[in-house]
Amino acid sequence: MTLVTLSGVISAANLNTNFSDKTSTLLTNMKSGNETTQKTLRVFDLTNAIAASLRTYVFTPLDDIELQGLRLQTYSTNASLVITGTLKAINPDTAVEYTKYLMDQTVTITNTSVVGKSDTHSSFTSPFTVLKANVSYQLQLSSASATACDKALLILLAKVRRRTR
Amino acid sequence: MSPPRIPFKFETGQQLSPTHLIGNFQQIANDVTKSQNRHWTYDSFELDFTGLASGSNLAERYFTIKAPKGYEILALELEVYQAAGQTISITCSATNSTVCSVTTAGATTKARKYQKQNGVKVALDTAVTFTYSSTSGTNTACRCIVHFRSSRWSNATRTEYTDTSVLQIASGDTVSATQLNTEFSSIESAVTADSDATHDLKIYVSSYRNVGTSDVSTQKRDLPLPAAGRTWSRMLSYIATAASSSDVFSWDLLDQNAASVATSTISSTTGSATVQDEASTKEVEPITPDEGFSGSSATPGVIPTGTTITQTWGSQVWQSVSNTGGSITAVASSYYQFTGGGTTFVNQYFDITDVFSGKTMALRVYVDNVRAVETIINIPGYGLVQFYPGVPEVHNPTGSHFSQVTGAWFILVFQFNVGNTVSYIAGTAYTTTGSAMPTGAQQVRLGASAGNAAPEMRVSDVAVWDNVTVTDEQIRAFFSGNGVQTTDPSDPTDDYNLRASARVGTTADVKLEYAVLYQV
Repeated sequence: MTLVTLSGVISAANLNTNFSDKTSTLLTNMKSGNETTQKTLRVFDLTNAIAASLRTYVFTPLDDIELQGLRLQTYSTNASLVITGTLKAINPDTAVEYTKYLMDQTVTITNTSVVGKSDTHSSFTSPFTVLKANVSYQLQLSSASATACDKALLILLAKVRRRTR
Repeated sequence: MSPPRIPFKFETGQQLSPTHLIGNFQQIANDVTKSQNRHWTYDSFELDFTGLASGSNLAERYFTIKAPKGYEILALELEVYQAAGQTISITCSATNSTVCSVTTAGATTKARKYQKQNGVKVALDTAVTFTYSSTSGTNTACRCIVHFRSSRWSNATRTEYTDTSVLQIASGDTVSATQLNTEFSSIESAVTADSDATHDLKIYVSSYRNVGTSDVSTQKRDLPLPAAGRTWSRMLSYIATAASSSDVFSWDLLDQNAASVATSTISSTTGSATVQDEASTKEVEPITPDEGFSGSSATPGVIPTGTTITQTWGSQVWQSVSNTGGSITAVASSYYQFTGGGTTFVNQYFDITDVFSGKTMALRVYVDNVRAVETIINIPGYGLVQFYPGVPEVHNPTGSHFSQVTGAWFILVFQFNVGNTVSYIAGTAYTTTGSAMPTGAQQVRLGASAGNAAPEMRVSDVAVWDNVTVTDEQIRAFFSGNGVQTTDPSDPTDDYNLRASARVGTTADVKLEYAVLYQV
């Protein structure tokens, strides 16, 4: 909508139109600031013998992010492999794990492989779980089987909000 | 952030209150300032240095990031597993950066360093390298996360912050319409500046080391990018090889129909062990067409909803016509839907009258329950009357002509040469010699299908470029930004895939290939 050019006797309607138009545009601008980001953990030939170091991704966001979803995708030449992905808060410098900042639980997603590609997806809705700034979080993949899963992907989808600094 | 406040509503017949008038101007000015000030986003990208040894080739040990927008590096987060007692370092080439080093603690014991960076600002299009080094040995796993922030103001169409003045009106003053108009214009400028700065930088890095060709499926080489509705601005690919290599390697960004919307191909240099970067730069900026409309974007045209299905853009009028008992409707401002009368939609068509000489036209169409589209586009008397796979950009899952199609989107691209021939756009080996182009305006028609029960065709986007060189990728970029993508970022069915692709030549000596994908 464009501004109504005022002239002569100014109507209340035209004033209201101009004010409302700019207010609604502002609202749209503010909503557009919710940008999605993703963190991806990829492991080839995942088995139950793979060391945790090779199937773990630790990240420490510098700003709060809203958890939107977890996705576990497998690509395998073997069916029925049970693959699990987890998200939890950790103390990155010790083996101690804690859940203070993450809903008091570990978020888990499980996928049973098929021959070919298989997807599992968890969505989180409002109120969203917030991963807190300066807290370390760990994505980890694990398999219950000694048979290798060709590729496993654990993807975290989150929203990043715009900030003033 | 709280939403903008609802402005005071003026009522006809009531005395205009200066307080309310000023109040409305003031609150909008305040709200736009608050919105403008929220321009930072924080994000990170991951670099995988797993498996590197102290003696690994330098080309294998570094990643180059060359973003299309400026950003500020805030921290390097390094995690390493390796036999204890060695020093692992990540060095960033950006000015003022601090080396991130850690002493290893064991092959299965985590060693970690979180190194803050102070004042490390990287300008747009500036290459920054992150280089791995170690005193000895080979790591079991090593990942470095680069944390950064970027401002939405630093996009290509940067619009500066606009101060918003507020009209001061005292009770009893006479205020001219001109003054009010000036005030509204000022606020409009500020709001527009705010809404123009919509781009936030995202960086995705996908890397492979020693990935062969024969033993790796395409799905294994895919990196899913689930959040569609994004606009990808640039993809860079890199390759690091040994001295004798002559490999060709490429990355494709595939849309949800497994159609490539961007490709970056690189060749290693025989006798070199350096990263190839500049030659692989692939900008994926769309080019704005001169005519046409987009079904899902307000720019530059929107299909009207409802029964009025005439689309006007510039001097052209796009008109849909149905005369066989079927129907054509404009659906939810996103596409024209051609529905069959029985099993056909013969003679339902979409018209534009134009002089096509020298122009390129692209259409995004969707078909469902269609056995055969006999005429997809027709310039009477001038060819282009059959729809065959020789037409580039036709992503036909059947691999044959337009037959037995159930639910598929296509991009059709036609290029009309200047002068006396009609030909398909470059990018295919298909050759055809058309008849002389007409000198006057000509009509384009879509439709004429013999199909299964309830056949359907949708036309969602049409674009015409006048006498300019338009690449396939620019066309695809235009449609990928305006086409069928959903905007639900949590929908995993709406994949993009970043795929490492086939190459030729030797493979054993290829050490590292990676692509960096940027979204703004």
